[in-house]
Amino acid sequence: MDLLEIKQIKKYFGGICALDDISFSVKRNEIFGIVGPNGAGKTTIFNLATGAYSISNGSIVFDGKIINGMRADQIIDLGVARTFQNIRLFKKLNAVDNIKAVLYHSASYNIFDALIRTNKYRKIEKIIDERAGALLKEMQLDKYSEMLSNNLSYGLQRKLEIARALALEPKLLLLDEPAAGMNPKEISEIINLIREVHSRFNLTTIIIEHHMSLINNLCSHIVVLNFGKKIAEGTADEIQKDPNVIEAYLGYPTHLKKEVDTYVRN
Amino acid sequence: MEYLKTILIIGSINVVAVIGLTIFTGFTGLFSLGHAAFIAIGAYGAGILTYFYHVPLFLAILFGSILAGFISLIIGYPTLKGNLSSDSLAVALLGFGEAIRVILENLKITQGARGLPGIHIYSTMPVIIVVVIISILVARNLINSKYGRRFVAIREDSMAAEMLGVPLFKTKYFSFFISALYCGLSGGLFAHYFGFIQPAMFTMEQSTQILASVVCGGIGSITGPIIATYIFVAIPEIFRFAKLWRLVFYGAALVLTMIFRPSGLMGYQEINFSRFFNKYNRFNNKIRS
Repeated sequence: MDLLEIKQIKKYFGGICALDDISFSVKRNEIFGIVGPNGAGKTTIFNLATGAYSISNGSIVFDGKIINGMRADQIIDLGVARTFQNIRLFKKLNAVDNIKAVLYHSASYNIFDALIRTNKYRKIEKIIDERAGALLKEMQLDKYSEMLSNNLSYGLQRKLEIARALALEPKLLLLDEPAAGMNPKEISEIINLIREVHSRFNLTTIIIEHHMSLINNLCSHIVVLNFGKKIAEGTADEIQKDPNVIEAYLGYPTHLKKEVDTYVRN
Repeated sequence: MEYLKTILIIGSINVVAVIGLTIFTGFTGLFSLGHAAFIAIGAYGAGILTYFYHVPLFLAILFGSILAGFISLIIGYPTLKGNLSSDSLAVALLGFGEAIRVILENLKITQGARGLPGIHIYSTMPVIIVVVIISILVARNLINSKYGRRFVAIREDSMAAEMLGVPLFKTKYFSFFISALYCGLSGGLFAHYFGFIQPAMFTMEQSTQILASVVCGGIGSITGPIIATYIFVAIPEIFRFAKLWRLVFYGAALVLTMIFRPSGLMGYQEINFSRFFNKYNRFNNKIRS
């Protein structure tokens, strides 16, 4: 059984059809790519999968459970975590507090433990501190743990956001344009980081990205969207030769069809 | 001396309400212009019990506080469930605050606009000091727990917080409830200090005053709003010689704080004695070397 199955989902915003009959499934432990021009509906899929929007039609099955209709926090409890296209860290908090803010799954004390600071509270808070520290260390962010997240460089903020998502101990990690606004060196760094995180935490990962170098490097399976429709699916090589994809990105003058086809074939 | 003590007591009573609103506004990031209603509910809840039924002070104040909390659950459900933005929530609660005042003016048990004269004066200095200290400690412990961290996550970015599994409604509801408990507590102390309460004491003016203390004291800080509360109680008294102009000084203090310290006196930080001493030591060492 696949970890995430998207079955014929439709999403309307008013009269606009943002996603039209999309289906695909993501296998366990795979890095899956979603590409497509701007406005194709890529981020909408993430928003549906994490419960930010309700779905108009179809269903999303995660780990054998139908998750559309659930509240965001319930879905996240099942093991879905995401990052955002425009970084959404808790800006006024330092790096370690950003992590601690989401480390409540392991915090089993109740309100009275917290108010009178019982031993249980102290013990669990200590564990939380240690876990946040360990996570920052693994992501090589421990140097910056006391820095306000707003003051970190762009690349570090991306890293911290991934660390914060990992703090939820997800089974499925959704990365929304992790390399947006990065230079080639930073992109190669983030490729290594994602690969490392994927292998170390045994994570199924879905990546939305425009940088084909990143997608080609990482993703074993790719879906291409355009105007809310799935236009292609396959490995990186298959995608790049698909005439529909070329049309979506470059336009496709019909009177040159033959020439383009021969070009693609060669 | 008695005069100074009075100012200190009034300030301390306000501090309890301000800490409550700090949790809601300073840490959860939601604004309210109606928290005077919870002070009123706490004052009347506690006042009626001691006035008519001679219940001991401790129980009466506790009851007033819990009553305010209970009412907050009723009004919080539609307003917070609707996921209103921060400013529309403030206006919605403004309406709620005025409604509560009108209700108090028309109920039989509250004796309408006449109020409750001659409530026993139980709120003495030691009682108030104990309550304030407990309030501060409880607030600090709450903020430094997983609950407080969820509040802060919502303040910083409610969308991101939701997508990281913070249940928005539940967390906001809880924060609102706690802030109402605090305001109710403050109301109970208020009623038993002045010995007289009437609905006209709990207008929007009081709501805005505690909100001003929270914002000028600093969002995301407990100590800042506490200091600001005492300052704002003291300023009109210090400038008493200026007669009516003293309120202008009060206004000027608000304006100047916002201009020179836009995030409040202690925005996003607490008074930290160890840091203060570190600085002092470094300064000392520098002088010696």
